[in-house]
Amino acid sequence: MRISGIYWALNALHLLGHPDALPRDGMLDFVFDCLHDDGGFGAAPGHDAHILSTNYTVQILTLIDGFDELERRVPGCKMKIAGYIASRQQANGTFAGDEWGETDTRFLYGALNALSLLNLLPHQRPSEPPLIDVPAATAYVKACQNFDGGFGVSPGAESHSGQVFTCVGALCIAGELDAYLGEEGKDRLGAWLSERQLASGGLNGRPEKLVDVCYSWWVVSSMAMIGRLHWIDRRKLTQFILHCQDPEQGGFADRPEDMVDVFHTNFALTGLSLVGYPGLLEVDPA
Amino acid sequence: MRSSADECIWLTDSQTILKPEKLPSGAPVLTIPVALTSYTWPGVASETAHRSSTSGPPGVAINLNSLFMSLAAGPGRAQVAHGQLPEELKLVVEKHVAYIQSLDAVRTAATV
Repeated sequence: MRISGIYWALNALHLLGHPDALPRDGMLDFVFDCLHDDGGFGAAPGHDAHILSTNYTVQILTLIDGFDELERRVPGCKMKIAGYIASRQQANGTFAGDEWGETDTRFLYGALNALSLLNLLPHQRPSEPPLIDVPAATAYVKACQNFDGGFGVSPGAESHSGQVFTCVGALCIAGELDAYLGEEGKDRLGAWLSERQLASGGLNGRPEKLVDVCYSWWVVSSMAMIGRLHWIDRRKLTQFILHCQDPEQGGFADRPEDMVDVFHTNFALTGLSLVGYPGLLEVDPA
Repeated sequence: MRSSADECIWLTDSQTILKPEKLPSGAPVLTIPVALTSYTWPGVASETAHRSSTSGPPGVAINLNSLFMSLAAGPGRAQVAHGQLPEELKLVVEKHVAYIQSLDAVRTAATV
C-alpha cells in the first residue's frame, strides 16, 4: 500500500500546486528499494512485484521526472519494467496482477497506462516489435461491457464505476474509445454513470450503494472521457466534495463526518479538478 | 498464523506476514513482548506465538518502516463549520498540503 500512498499524496500535491512539498530524493530511494530483478515493483521493500505497484511507480516517476535517475541507477530499467508488464499479459489479452495469476481489468488498465507513460506502447514505437498485444487487450475490455452500458471486472460481471474507469481508460489510451462506443454507446454509458449521482450531490459506484467521494474520480473521469461530463450537477458535486474535507486539519474523507485519509484526499481533489474548481491544476481523465 | 520458533514475524501496514528473507536489511525492529500485547494470530493461542530472532525476548516484531506514509485514517474528520452555508465552503489548500506532509512526518517520528 505504501507505493500507492506516495502516488496519491504526490498527485494531490501536484493538483494543489505544491509539487515539491515531499522530499524527492527520499521518494526515489524508497521507489528503487521496491524494484525487483524482473523489472516489477512491489508495494514496499520486500513485497512481491505486482502490476498495480509497478503502475503506481511509473506514475510517481513521471510526476517527479525521475526516469533519468532511474536509468542512471539501473541502466535499461525502463525496458525491464516494460518487459515485466508484457510478461503479465495472458493468452486472452488481459493481464495478471502478479506471478500468481489473478486477472482484473484494473491490471489491464495499469499495464496500458504504465506503458503509455513509458512511451513504449506499440503505436508509440511503430518501427519496433510490439511488446504487448493491444488488440487482444481491447477485445477483452469490450467483452466486459454489459447491456446497461457499463463495464465489469470480467466478462459477465456486474457494472461498477471503478471498472468503467479502467475499461474506458484502457480504450482511450489504446485509441479505440470513440470508434468502439460511438455516440449511442456513449449515451448509454453516460446515462448509467449520471445515475450514480444521488440527492446529496455525491456519487456511488453502482446502484443502491452509498456515495463515496472517490467516485468523484472514477465516475467523473469516465464521463469526461466520453464527453458527457455535463450530464451531472457539477455544482452539487462540488459542494458534496467540500463537505468531505476537514477545514481545520486538512484531508478528505469518503463522506461527511468520517475520518480523512490520503486515498480520499487524492480522489476528492481529482474530482474537483475535473469539474473545474478554481485554482486546481487540470487532471488528465485517462 | 503459526511461525517456527526462530522466525521473526513482521507486520506490515496491510497486516501481511513477510518472510524474514524478504525484509529489507537493517530495517528497524520494535519487539513487543507477548505478555504486553493482546494480539493473537487466528487459530493460534498467544502462548504459542513468536519470538524475534533479532531481538531475543519473545514477542512480535513490527517493521517500523511500515509506518512510512501512513495510510491510517485521521486524525481529522470531515466537517462543516456550524452555520456555514454550502455556497460558503472553500477549498483549504494550505491545510491539505500540511496534512499530506504530516503523513511523511510519521516516518521520521517512528524511526528515530
